[in-house]
Amino acid sequence: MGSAIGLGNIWRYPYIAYENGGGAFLLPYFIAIVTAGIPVLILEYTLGNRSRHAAPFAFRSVSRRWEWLGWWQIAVSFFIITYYIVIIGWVLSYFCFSVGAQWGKKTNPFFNEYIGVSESFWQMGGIQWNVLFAVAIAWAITYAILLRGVSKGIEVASKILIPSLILMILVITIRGLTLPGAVEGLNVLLTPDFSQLTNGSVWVAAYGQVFFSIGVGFSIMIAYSSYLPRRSDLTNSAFIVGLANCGFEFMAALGVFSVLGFLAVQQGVPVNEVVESGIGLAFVTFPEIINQLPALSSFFGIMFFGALFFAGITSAVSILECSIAGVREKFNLSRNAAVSWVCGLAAIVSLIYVTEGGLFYLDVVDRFINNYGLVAAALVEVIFIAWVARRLGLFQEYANERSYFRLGRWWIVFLSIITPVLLGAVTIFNLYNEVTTPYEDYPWSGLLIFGFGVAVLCVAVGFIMQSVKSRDPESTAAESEERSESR
Amino acid sequence: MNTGAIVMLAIGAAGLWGGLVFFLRNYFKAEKAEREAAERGEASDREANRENQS
Repeated sequence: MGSAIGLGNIWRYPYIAYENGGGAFLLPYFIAIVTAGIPVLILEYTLGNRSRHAAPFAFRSVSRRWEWLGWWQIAVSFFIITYYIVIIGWVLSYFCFSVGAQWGKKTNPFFNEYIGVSESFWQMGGIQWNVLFAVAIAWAITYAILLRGVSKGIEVASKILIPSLILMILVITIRGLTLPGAVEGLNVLLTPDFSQLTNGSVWVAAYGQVFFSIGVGFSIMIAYSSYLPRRSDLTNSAFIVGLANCGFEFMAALGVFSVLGFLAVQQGVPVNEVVESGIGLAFVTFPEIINQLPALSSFFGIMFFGALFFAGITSAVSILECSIAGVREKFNLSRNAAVSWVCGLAAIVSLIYVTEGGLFYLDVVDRFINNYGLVAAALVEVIFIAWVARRLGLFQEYANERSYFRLGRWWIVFLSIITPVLLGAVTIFNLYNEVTTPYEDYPWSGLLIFGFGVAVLCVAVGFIMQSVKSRDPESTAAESEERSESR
Repeated sequence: MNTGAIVMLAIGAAGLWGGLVFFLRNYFKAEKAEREAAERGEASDREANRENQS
């Protein structure tokens, strides 16, 4: 749950739902959860739990020639963490700025000044030291959690942070609902526009959101499930994680839109004019809302940025863990060495986003790595298991042997037909849009290097890593077996 | 709030949060059944030990 619930649940879902039919979006969203999100989650749980390995060796256990797919997914996760941690650094700074609303009345110029955004894409500029300081703290916290190991570090952190996060979002939602204008905000979010359901892009958005949000295709769920005891109820766990994640983002959307309604009423404009998503919502619109609150504004700011911070840290830890698990197995490293290598390398790469041009690079890498890296890797994974290796029947049997809720034929049909077709449609749709309209009017050179370049580099990393000889794979396999038996 | 929004709120809440409660119940039920089975096994072992000793 800690891995699935991240920043996107709070700042991405509300906008996607609003933009794609409001309340009517729930229909494609539910269908996407049941036909793609949860079935793929069950697939990844089964693959990891059955093989007792991180993604590369898990795919290798199905077919020796497919180890690269696991490395591809790990490379995608690696590039995601390099900018994700920078956003956590910003959140950490804003958590401190919340005390006394230090961003002042002009929240947009304040944010631009804070990150020191440059005037054009290729004007990289120097390092922003204040941002670097916050990012270094975010790295230190993440590193400390990872160094403590899976049960003492990740498990303990999640047990504390996830309930706190849910409580914080609950407080924000309740506070939002009691503000004047909340009803206007909720009407904009929930009023159904059923005519949108005939629009293909709404369905593409629903499948895209479910995939990004649940966190499949990252290789995280494969690594996490390899740590679960062999007798774990995988199907029920997948339903719990999938529904908790989606239920959480639905609750967050109610909170976000009720405060957006409040802001619209304060400014005397329609709600549509204040709706924002992503970085703009968190670092520009929310501080504006906090400025307008009649009482306890600092408390509300601390709650909001605290929730973002907790959501970010639990996801960051999981994104790194899949790389750590993969590297450990491949090179037979100790945990501390693997954590230090992966975090050290990612920290060096993350420096690029701490420069004045960092926001542009972050924006492009995020867009391409999510739309092509993540979705394409998930698509290849499903096609490989369903059509190339033809292991779905075997995996279904494995999951059913240890699950309270039995998987029927529907699971195989969804994974072998519906999920690949829809994921393929999502990829083609996104690619078409990308080629016809350059993203945010950034220069093509920038899009080719930071966008398509990084997405292709991830695949190349997959093949390169597969060609590297494993260091003593027998002992790694034996250690993994020992770990599974000790549970 | 308008009727359409209220209906969609109810559908969203029932589908997502209701579904979550349903699967959490399954989880706790399975856990309880497992715990009870383990306790029954232990009790049976203890009884067998007592019988053997007497």
